[in-house]
Amino acid sequence: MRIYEWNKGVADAKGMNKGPGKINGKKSYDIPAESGRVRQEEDSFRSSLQRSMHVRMETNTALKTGKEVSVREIPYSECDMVEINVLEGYVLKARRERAGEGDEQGGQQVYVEKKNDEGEVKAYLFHGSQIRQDGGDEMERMAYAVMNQKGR
Amino acid sequence: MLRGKEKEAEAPFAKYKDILYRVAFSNMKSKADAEDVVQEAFCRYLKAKPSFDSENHEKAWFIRVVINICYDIQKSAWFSRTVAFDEVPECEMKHFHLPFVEEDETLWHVMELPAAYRNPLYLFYYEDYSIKEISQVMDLGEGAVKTRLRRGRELMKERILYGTERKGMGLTERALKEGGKDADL
Repeated sequence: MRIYEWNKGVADAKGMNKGPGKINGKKSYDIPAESGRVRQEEDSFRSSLQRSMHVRMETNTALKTGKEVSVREIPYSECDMVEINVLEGYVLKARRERAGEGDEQGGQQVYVEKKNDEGEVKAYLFHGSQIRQDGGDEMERMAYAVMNQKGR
Repeated sequence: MLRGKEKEAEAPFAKYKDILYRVAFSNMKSKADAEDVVQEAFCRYLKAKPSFDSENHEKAWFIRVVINICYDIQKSAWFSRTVAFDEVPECEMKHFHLPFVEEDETLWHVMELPAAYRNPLYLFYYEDYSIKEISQVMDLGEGAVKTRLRRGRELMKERILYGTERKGMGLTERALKEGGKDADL
């Protein structure tokens, strides 16, 4: 089967050449046989989309190993560590605490709260055993610093 | 009679003296002046005998009075004739301590900002106030507080990176105007 015929067959099967507004449109089987890029482009687009999604998923997991929790608005007096970054416009507050009773690992966890000068406040809970030193996120770095604080 | 008045001020004095001193110091940059401001704030409290809806309301009232007294002093002819410091003198730095946060270089930079930016930044970062609370203390909209936080931060960056703000930024002029509005509170 020639590529021209194959393209036409595929296009007809998908109903691509039947709809209104397609009269002057370039039909897929008009594409010169030697270019033959229709499926390749689709594939490359799909794969690039998948790649970007994959990367995005990876980025998200790299950013947060903790889980988002409701904000408790703990005062500085109850924090184990406070990091003020005026030039970046945020404050990090962290407190180390015992993990809940339902927690199988029964270890320690770190509650980290971040407020910025746009008025957003977020809070994450990091489990002690999952905190990475090289976590890509300042909240996780804070959690790591609190977990490894001297005298604790 | 005086004894009774002293008793009245005892409870709020014990509760707020530290934070009021810190707010006053961040504006006046001197221990003696900050203590005078706090004393004046409590005198005004005894004179006005205001009633409050809540503890937060009371605290906000005191902070606002302290900020206003600082503005009044800084606007006075005496203050403008004497040497006023933009920077916190090194000999005064030892008189300022934050209870839960380590003092760093950034804190002194915040204190050097024009009043319109200094107070929101100081309260937000070093006293852990929320934007809503700052808007109540300073009688500003929340949007205005956010704008001042952002502009103050930009101004600080300019000063740290270039030693001074770049020409054409006009942030200081804008701050002085906004500071003027605050002073009329």
